[in-house]
Amino acid sequence: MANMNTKHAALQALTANLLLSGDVVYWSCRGDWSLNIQDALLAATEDEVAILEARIPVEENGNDVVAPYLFPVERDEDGTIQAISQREVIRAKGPTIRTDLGKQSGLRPGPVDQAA
Amino acid sequence: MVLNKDGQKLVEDSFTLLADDDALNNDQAQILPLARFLDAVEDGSLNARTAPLGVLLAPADDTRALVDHLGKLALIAIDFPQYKDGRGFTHARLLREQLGWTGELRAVGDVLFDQLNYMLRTGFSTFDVRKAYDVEHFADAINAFTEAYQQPGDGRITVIEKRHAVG
Amino acid sequence: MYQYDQFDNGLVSERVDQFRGQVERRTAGNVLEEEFRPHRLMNGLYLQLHAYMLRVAVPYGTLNGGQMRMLADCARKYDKGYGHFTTRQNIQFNWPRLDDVSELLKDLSEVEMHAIQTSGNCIRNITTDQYAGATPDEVEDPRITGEVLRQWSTFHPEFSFLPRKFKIAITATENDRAAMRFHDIGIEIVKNDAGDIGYAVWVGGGQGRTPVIAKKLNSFVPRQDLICYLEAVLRTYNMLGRRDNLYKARIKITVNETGVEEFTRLVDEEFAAVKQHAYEQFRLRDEEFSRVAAFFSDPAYESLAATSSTFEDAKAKDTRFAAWAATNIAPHKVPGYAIANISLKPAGGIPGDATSEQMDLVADLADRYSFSDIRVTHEQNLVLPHVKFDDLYALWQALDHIDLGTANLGLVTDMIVCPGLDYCNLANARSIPVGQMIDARFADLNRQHDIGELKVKISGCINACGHHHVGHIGILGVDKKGTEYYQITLGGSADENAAVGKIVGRAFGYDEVADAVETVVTTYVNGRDSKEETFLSYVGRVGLGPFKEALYGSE
Ligand code: SF4
Repeated sequence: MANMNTKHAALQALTANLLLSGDVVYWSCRGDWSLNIQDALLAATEDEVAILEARIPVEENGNDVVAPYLFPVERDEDGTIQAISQREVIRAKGPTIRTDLGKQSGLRPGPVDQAA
Repeated sequence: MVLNKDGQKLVEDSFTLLADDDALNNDQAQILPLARFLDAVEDGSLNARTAPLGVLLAPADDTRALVDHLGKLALIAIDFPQYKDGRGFTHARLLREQLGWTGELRAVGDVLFDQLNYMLRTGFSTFDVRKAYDVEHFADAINAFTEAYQQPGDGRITVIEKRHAVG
Repeated sequence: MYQYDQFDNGLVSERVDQFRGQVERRTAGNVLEEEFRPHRLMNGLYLQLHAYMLRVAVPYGTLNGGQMRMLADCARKYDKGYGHFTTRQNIQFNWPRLDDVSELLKDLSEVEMHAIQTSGNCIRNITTDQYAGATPDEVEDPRITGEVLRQWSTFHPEFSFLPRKFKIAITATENDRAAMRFHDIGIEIVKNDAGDIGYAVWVGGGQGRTPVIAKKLNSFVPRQDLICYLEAVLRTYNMLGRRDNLYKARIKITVNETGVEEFTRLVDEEFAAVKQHAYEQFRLRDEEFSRVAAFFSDPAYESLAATSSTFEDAKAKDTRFAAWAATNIAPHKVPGYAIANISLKPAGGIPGDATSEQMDLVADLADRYSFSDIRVTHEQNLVLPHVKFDDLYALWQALDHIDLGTANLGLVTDMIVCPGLDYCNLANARSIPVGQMIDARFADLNRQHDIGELKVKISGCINACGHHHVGHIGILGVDKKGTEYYQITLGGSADENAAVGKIVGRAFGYDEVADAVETVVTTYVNGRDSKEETFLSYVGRVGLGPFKEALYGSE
């Protein structure tokens, strides 16, 4: 049987929650945290994954975010980044039963202002 | 750094914790793990002791194994290998409340800053505090709570007693 | 209800200061998350999927109007205008910022509330019968013992780092409304042959991965010995409980692995030792018990006729009210009064959620109609325990106005539903939308009333916060390669006839659950002897066979 996970494991992104607000964030191409999953830096090769992974202990020893970890994503044909597991889809959007809450209620793009 | 309840450093503290392959030295202040201590009592190797002796209780040790040996000890140290492991608090209370230990009771290991108050209340008298921040702010942690509902071994007057004090 | 004295107040405000210090050390970078985590957890502050979540204790499920208003305010000020009432009789805020939590806790402390011990491996908020003090059949008000034990367990220096969390429930009636047999310790207030009041102590119940019904360890602990006895149980557990495996750390496993007899012997031995050495410190003193009991004495009831024509007339002319009265009120010990249940399960709503406006209104109604007394139930509803029959119609109309008048208590749509994957960091699958699909399926209230008592309970993972093991119909979310599936159990029960539900067969997909529940219910309705045969007795009589057949056929 084809292992679905192999395909999915191809792209990895790094996520965490901001220390102060608790907001879900993604490590971005710019080298900072973004509220928007579309900014996420994607690691495809083993080396890229290793670089992203090396970020985790750095963040764990800092005080910007809490609980950083890698998770699998995929890219649509139009380039949109999609989380694969239901859990990450919900984190990226907000509660499915309250679409007025969470990121889905109005996404602020770009870098994070901790004081906001 | 070993501090007493008032946050003062124990100046005369010369105890060393005996690691597994360290030799027992009857002329040096040493702390022995419980099993080793009981063996040494058994085989008489403590008979010629001149220096003060301490014993170290690990979480899984039987506190009551010390019941007949308290007279031989100058210090009981209780190990907190991980802050999550709260068995050390039970050791302390049993020693104070049931075995009648009145000597030094020292917390060693992963002594978490915000556990200091609970340690004080279960009867610890000295605290091996490692981090500079913790040493500096020791008083805040140890006195975090002025009152206590329970009387677990530090002799304080509880809230319940204060409520019903005569006069 | 209980009122803090200067000592109680002092401890809570010192705790707020302590937490403020902990947060400051964290945000200044003096401590890392690893060390901060246990502190925030000890204060009920979790990190969930989208944000932090603060769990606020509602000791023994009792609130007054002022406290409810403060919760409403906090939800407005620090959250997104709502709160979630849980199966621990607590309330959770889903969106607070870390740097607001100290202020939130300070506001709560002004109305004698806190988040102490709502998480962590300590003695958690003590729960009890939501009808305490109002129900005709109780030995005494269990909240008195609840408050005594709240104080005993608060910042207990020996038992704050147990192998695992520790939950205590207290009941004082034979009808167990507190799921007492599914707690680490269940305390049943009883009267012995000599007429003395004491405590039967049950130990080792629980849900989660391994559901276990508690065993009775002692059938009569005299009142003055209660704390000594609990000290002995907790100490035995603290020393013996497993710390090598998270899933084997609860006392239910300790009791099973040690054997009930041996465990009882160890507890008795320790109990004797505690009494010998520390009896004075831990004897539950009469004067303290009486001091606390005075706070729970009866409110100023009027003397009223047992029947109310206002009530009867309203029922006759308003069928919706009549339906509500049929399910949502319970008998009160005083003639002319009733216990009114407020369902937090409106059609299409989120079970257990209440908006600030709803909380404010409930507070006002409690002030007006129920001596400012409000209860939170483990089934995620609210109760106004002392309402005059004469006032019930006016009360219901006001409730109905803001979607709190649903006539479904104990019926199929009165589900317990945990937050699940919409909020919870540990979840495998969503719970709330599954509940909503079932709710929509059974939207016809007449049909619900015809089906009769039926408790559906949904958990989004094996932690079982949604009590699925004890649901008449239990639904457990599981994860199969990132996709949500749901396992159905039948025949569980949380009351005095405690039972763990049995798995009926293979799990269902997200879109199949409502159909499956409908099939189960139809099987029962078609098969029951008469309306008197409840779902639970039907399952008891026929077993899983007919359900398997209906659900899976010849699969
Ligand atoms: S049962 Fe699982 S999913 Fe539901 S609230 Fe508890 S931990 Fe979360």
